[in-house]
Amino acid sequence: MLDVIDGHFSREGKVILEKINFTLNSNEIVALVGPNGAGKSSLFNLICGEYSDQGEVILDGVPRQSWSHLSLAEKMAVLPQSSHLNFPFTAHEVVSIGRMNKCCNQTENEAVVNQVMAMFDIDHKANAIYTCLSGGEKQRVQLARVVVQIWEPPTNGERYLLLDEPTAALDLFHQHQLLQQLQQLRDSRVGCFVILHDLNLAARYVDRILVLDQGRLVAQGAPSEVLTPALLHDVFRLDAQVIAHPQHGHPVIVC
Amino acid sequence: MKSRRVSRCYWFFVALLMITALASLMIGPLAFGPWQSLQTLLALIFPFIEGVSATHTVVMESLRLPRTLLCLFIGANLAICGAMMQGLFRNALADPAIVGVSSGAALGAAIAIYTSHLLFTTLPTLGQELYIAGAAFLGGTAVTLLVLRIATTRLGTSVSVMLLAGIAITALSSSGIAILYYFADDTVLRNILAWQLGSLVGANWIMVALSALVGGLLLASIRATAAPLNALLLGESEARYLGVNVQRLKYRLIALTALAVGVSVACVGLIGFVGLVVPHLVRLLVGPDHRNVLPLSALLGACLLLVADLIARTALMPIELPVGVVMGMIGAPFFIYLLLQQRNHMV
Repeated sequence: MLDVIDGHFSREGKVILEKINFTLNSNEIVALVGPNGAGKSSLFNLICGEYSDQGEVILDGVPRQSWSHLSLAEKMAVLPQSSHLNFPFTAHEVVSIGRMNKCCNQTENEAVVNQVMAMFDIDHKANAIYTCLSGGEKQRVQLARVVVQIWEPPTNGERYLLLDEPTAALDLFHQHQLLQQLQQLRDSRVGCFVILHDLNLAARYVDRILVLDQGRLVAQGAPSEVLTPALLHDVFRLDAQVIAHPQHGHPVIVC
Repeated sequence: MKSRRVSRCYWFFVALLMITALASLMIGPLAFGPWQSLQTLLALIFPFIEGVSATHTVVMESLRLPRTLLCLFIGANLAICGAMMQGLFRNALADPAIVGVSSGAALGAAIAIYTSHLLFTTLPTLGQELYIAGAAFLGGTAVTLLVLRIATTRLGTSVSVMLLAGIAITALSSSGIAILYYFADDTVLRNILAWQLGSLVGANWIMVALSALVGGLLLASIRATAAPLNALLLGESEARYLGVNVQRLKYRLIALTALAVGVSVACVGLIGFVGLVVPHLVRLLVGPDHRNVLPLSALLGACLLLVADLIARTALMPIELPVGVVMGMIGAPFFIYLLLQQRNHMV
């Protein structure tokens, strides 16, 4: 269980986050949504430990600063919004960096890397130079890198995957593929925390949605509870209809 | 496939190093044959071997061998430093000379040369060498910290800011050294000037021992730093999420590079571009994985400096060029070539 207790953050006297409290369980996918400038990335960074003493982040009952670098890396993988890599590694090498602390043998590591690259549909680019890949391909390589990092259950506690706008560069097919992979990871007990902009994508796949507006959590709960016309109007300034998906029954937002 | 390429590179570089080292032993005002130089070397190690002329032995012992070894160690150290610094700054254009670390070390060394004349004229050579190296180390560390602080934001290191900071710091150090000119007497002046050009003429066994020590330290640190450096290339936060203690890694790299640059500046003065040219060539051959780049850079760096020193010795015989000048002539065009390659995606 990952708990954020009284998360708050301000920059240059301006309050960016206040009184943030929520829990991420290792058997759920939680999406963080909100309009631009709501503080989503700040909250994300707060959980990752980029800012110190801005409220408590508790991982499996232990404050995050009490975990050692290595044991934290074993249970929590993070993909920031944009990664700048300008050295000519191959895609396969980039993913393998995610395995840097794994002491199991070379063939085993290799097998995990290949399997996860296939999972994200990027195995055919394994020997391509990362810097020459398209934005979406780079994104999938980075996704594979963070997933191989927490592929095995850790020695202590549960696993968590934190993704900041992972679908930004992906085409529709790969957006859905990614969310389906997250569901699979959730089923093997990896708690996923994802910043998403596409509310319909969130409604279709995630277990819980947190809505952030002006630095406060204004709603949280299952997609069908949270995504109401009233909330869309108040938070996103959007007059929209919410209908039920004809096949799956989850809410769909129609503008 | 790739691993075979890497091991082929190792063999090729080792062979190249042996050839260049042998050439460096042979070539000079007193020419040695290949066999003769090996024989003289053996005679130095095993005094019972006969049939070697005394002149040759003396030349080998006090001139050729220390110079060759110094060249080898300094070249290897500077190349590893370059590769480490490029990892630290996450940019292939970083080099001790370009970022200003060398000039900071040179200012430290110049101040030490000047003050050592004023303060302790009776200092033994070893102590004096250590004093100068220590001052150069401090200068180098200060500059690395400063440039890193100036050029790094949360998003990473800005190349243009890094290069400009290097220019500013180089200018500052040159002014500092220029001020020292006015207060220095002839001997000191000549010493400082020799430092600035970079030359291996004064090679002695103390310098060899010092740089070998630092070289050993650098090689020993490769195991612990190579994989974290790969992670660091992804970004500082990314490396932290991968379990790397980024702060400790950075301080370790800064200390190592400043130490190596400090010792090399104290021994042979300002020799630029080794750390720029060598890692780049190695990356072209085996890719950017530091587990290969660092050790291969050491080998190729030693080769490059040996060749540069050979050119410096032989190009205008009997006059000897400072090796720093030769490296500048090789390295500066190479730097411009890299700039042309990178200018489209520079930040």
